[in-house]
Amino acid sequence: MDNKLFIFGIGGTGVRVIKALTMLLASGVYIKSSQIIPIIIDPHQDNQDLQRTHQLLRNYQKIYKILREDNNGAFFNTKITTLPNLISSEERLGENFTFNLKDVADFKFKQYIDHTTLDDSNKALVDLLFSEANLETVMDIGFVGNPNIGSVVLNQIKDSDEFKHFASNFKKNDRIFIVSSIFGGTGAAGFPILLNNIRSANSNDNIKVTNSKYLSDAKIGALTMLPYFGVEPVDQEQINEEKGNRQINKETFISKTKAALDYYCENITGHNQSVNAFYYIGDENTKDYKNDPGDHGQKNDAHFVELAAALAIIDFMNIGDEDLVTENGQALSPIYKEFGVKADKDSLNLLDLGDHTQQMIMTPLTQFFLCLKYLDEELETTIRKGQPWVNRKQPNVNKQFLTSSFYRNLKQLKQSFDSWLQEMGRNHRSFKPFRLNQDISNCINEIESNRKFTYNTFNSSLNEVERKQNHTLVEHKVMALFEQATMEILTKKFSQFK
Amino acid sequence: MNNFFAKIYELTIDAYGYNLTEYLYGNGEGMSTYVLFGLIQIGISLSTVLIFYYIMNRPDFNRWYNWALIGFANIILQFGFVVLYLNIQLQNGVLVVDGVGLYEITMFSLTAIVPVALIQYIIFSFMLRWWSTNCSTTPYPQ
Repeated sequence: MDNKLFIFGIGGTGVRVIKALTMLLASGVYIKSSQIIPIIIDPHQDNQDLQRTHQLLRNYQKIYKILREDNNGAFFNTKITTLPNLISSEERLGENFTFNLKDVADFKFKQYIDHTTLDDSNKALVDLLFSEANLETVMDIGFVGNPNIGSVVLNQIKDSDEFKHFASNFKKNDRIFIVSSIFGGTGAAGFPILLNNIRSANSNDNIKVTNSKYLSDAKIGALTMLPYFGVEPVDQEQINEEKGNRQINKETFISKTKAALDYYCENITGHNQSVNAFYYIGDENTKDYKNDPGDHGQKNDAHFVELAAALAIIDFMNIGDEDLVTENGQALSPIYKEFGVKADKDSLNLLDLGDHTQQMIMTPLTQFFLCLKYLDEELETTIRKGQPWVNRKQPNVNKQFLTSSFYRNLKQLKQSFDSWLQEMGRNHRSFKPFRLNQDISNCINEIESNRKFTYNTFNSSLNEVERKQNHTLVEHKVMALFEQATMEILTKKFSQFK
Repeated sequence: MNNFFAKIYELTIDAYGYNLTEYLYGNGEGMSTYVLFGLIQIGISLSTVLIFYYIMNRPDFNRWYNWALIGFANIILQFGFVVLYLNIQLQNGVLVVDGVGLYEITMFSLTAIVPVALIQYIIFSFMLRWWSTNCSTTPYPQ
């Protein structure tokens, strides 16, 4: 299997979906791709969601780097790399996952379009299309729910070095997935532009690479997030006093969504058929987030809908090539999908997921949760007291392991994983697969074990599986043992995992 | 076999006196008490080791002091059995030898039975622990 998946995460929602996907891949959810290249397009570089996702991706990469040699296990099984990593060292663009948008930081939109130098007729046209508030928008925090600004600024993508490098590294068997929200600014504007740029790459004079022809007929999946959260209303006085031009109004979400869907119908999903598989995901049961356009870092809680969106990416990769045929930039048989759960409840657990979703994520997610919980709560005690699985065979799992960079990265990833679960648990609609603060015997929400399950049971399983395995690296040993032991525990102690 | 066990048990003969050994060695008819004790000691030590490593076999009961505790129980059991057995023989008039009383019986059990029980427990532990899932590194890693 040698097929790359380029995932464009546009705007804050795109970033959070990439985070959810990374969590799934860390837990060993299988995706039919040899490597994944997330490309984040978000002008708001100080966005805390973006920072958190970057940190998570870097942790994942560091762990993967150690595990990848001889890694037959499921945890961290998929390679995640950056676009610069695909390129030879001489041409490297940088080491991060983001697309560098030029002239955005500290720029007002009117400066970006050189408003002052426009002639009268162009100025009149601009004034017709953009409000005064639009023109005064400082774009370092994104396009603040204004897709009309985004559609101008993001048009620079097609001429960027990043896009050229993306085009030159795109191979025939590779696929593309674009994640965006329809009710905001950056995602709503960026998706159609990016899609258009990809489909017309062959006719773009700036991209003079042989591979660009593959882009026009690339297998492209896309996901658009319909409204799934709101923002708190801001009183009029505050709007007048502070930053009226920057506040987001949730009342416009539905109208923006309708307008964008109409646009998509005309230009993407209609007779154009630009996308091979299109996923619509949203939720009517929403929570109002703090109305922060970005000045305070934009740190939104993770949401179950983002997890569902990440599953769409996995689903897209499961679709056979024969169902994603594209000719002359048009998908021959486009696929449209939605996502559903078994019960319309305020709070979901693993058993409320659809059968197919359960099959995909229930076991790996629980295995990973149990593994991280043990490593965090029990490993130190085990090393101190001794168990056959830590010191029966070389390599020994000893105190040095606890100070290794691998373990440190794993602990950091655990913090991110716990925060992600916590945030999904307190959001609306909430998703609580696990009881985070409960002890190991009672930590899977709404799923009880057939027989008593303690760390003692865990150690017993680890001791048992350790007998049958041999490893040269301690990191491989730990992850492989936990993968198999958690699987044995789930199948033997819980009837729901059989 | 009688001579074999006699050699082992009589290493500490000074502690309990020659008189008791006469009874323990027997007169060549039937199974001697030495053989009886020898086989029972092997049986109890082996059973204790098997119970610890394969029946209990618990990750939360595999520290060296857990092993030592079971070993201690093994010794107490064997010590108690021998004292009780010989004392019953004494009370019932089966063991009638001059100069042999509860003191000699206790000293025999303490100096001959206890060390053998201890050594057997250690030997059997190291022979049989390898295949235990949760206790193969008890009392210390291999």
